[in-house]
Amino acid sequence: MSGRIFSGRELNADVTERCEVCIIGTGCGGATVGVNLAEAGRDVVFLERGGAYTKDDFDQREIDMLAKIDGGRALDISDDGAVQLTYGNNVGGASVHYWADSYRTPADRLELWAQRYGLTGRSEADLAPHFAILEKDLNVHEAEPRFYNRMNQLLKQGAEQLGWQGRPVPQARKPCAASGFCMQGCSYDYKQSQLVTHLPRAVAAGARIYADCEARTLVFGSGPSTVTALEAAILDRATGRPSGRKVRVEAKVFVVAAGGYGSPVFLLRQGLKGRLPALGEHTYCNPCPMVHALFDEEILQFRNIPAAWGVEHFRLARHDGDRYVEGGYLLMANQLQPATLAAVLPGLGGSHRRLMASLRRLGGTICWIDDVEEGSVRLAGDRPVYHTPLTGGNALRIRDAFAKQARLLFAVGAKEILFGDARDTRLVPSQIEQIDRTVAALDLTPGRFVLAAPHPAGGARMGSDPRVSVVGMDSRVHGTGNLFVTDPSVFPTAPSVDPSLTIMAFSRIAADHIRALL
Amino acid sequence: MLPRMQRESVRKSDPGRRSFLKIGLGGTLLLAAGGGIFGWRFWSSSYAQLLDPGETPLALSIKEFAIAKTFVRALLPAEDGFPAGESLGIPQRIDEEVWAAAPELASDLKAGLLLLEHATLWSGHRSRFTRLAPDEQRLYLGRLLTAENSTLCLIALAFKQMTHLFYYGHPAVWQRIGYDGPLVEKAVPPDSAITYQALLRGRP
Repeated sequence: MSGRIFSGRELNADVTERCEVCIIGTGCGGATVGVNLAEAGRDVVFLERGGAYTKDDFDQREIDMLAKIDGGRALDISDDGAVQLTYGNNVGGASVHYWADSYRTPADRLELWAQRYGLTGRSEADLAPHFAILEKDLNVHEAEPRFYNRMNQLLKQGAEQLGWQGRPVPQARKPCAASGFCMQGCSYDYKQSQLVTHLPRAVAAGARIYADCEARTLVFGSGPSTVTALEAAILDRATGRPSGRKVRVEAKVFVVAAGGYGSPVFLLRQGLKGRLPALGEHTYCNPCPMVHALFDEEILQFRNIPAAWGVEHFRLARHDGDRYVEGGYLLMANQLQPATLAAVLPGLGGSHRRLMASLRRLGGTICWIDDVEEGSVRLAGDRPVYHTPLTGGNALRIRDAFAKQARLLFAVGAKEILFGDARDTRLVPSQIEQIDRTVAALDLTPGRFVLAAPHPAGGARMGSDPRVSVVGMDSRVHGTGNLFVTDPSVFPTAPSVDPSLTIMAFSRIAADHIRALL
Repeated sequence: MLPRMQRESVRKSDPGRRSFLKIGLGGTLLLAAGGGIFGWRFWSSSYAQLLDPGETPLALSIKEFAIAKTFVRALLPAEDGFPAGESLGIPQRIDEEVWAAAPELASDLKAGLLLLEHATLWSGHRSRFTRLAPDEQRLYLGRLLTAENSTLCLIALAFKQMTHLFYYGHPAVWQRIGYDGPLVEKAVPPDSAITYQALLRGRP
């Protein structure tokens, strides 16, 4: 039996579904669990808050696409404006707008999770077979040099010049049109997002996907440990507000996979914080400091693969005893289409326009900070309030990332670099000796510069002790019999690389546990 | 190695847009006080004068729309071969975004516009933002972006980002900046834009 995708506008009356597994969310976590269960013959229903789109809807216009696939229409920020929350809001989740970087979880990170947080069943050997399957299914491969745009070529050249280790970034693409519109959703179905990989397979195996459908309330049975149903509201896609129609799903198992920003909030709304004090705590988000650069030559950062080659030299922070020395981030070429670039460039009026008039010669880099200072999410009434500290170890890493980017950009011929802060701090090559002093003086107070936060993690972390974790090793919420979480919110820390493949590998393991339960 | 890095202190965060802009009673009183200073009774008519005939916001009030329009005029005048932001409908696009935003965010944005208008007091101006000369408006916005007060800074940044996003996302600007545009021809507007336009057309 083949399933199908239902859009909110098709649903003219309340709906009641009965199935074996109900999954909230269709991103890397939910889709991966779902396809594994559906193909094993299990009856699966997905609920997705965002809309269902196809490649024909991905029109490569930034403004149109922000409204379609970006959560909060790209206006969501943390409590004090420190970071801009970046997440998906559509069938396929954030994988529809991601850059397709597909790393295996580094062995050192898995060891950390085992030793410090007590994770079992997630060693390099445990995950290897899952990664092998995922890499085949998503055609993960290294980009050929013809897919390196000029900024990626310069990044590689600069890193080699400076003796910084790097390598081609593993890409989930088949093939690639080199359009540069990855963040706007792939108009060619070449990027191997969940929309064109796991979800169609799940639907072919009978899964039903309800788009424009916001999960609201878990209905518990006679005791607090068993969920019997989920109540959801069908949304009007134009306004994002409830249409008045509802969906009720009765199932044997419920899986929360609403993403790193969404899942902890959903669980908080169910009143689980009292039983699980770690819920909403220990969050991470990979804040991304960028440095922009003007070159004499054409860069055309807005074309081809965003991050084809990456600097991994600084992935792990280096310490001298207790003293931080450097690192704790990945360093990549940046890719922004013009409107988004204009939004993050510093300055007003003439100075901003002069920059934009130089669009074709504007390049730059970006770092994914492996944040170490934990954030949190809480509810103020029903409203989620996210907090990400830009202090302590996070600030040390951000400053070092600014400095390293500046050094690399000057090494490959940048004529002027911009830190993008409110004071519009710039340096020219003759000031290269001033990099450290300049970076040390940058004001990291929230609101003084733009930091995207694209990789949320934690908030419902895995562990064996319900006092300090939310889910057990089987991804089941402590104290419940049939409620699971499968997305980056279960990670004890950020994974130090793009999280998509780690999310999928963890979700495959969760699917095994769920199958055993049914 | 950066000397200051080791001394990075854990600073208490300032109240940010999300928390502070829920201005509530205190904020309302503050704005009312501003009204007393500037002459409340003249406001509605003077704001309406800033709008073109037939120009009707859907989500913003006349006053909020006039402030947004002034912001766009100050930031994006027609010069150096760039079209004016106003001529590309950017103020209306801001209204659309407020209309489509979640209710809490929409109220933050509306409150932010009011603070933009009246925070001139704190930077030593005697007039509100919409009454300043264009050069003064730009100077004022520049000062807000680096203001000690994080809330003012965040408001200015939010509207600057939004305005630039919509302006440089407009096809009329692409040639001027050397951007050859999307590779697929047909634009497919989001449902929110289609509904917003339909509602606007349906207005008397």
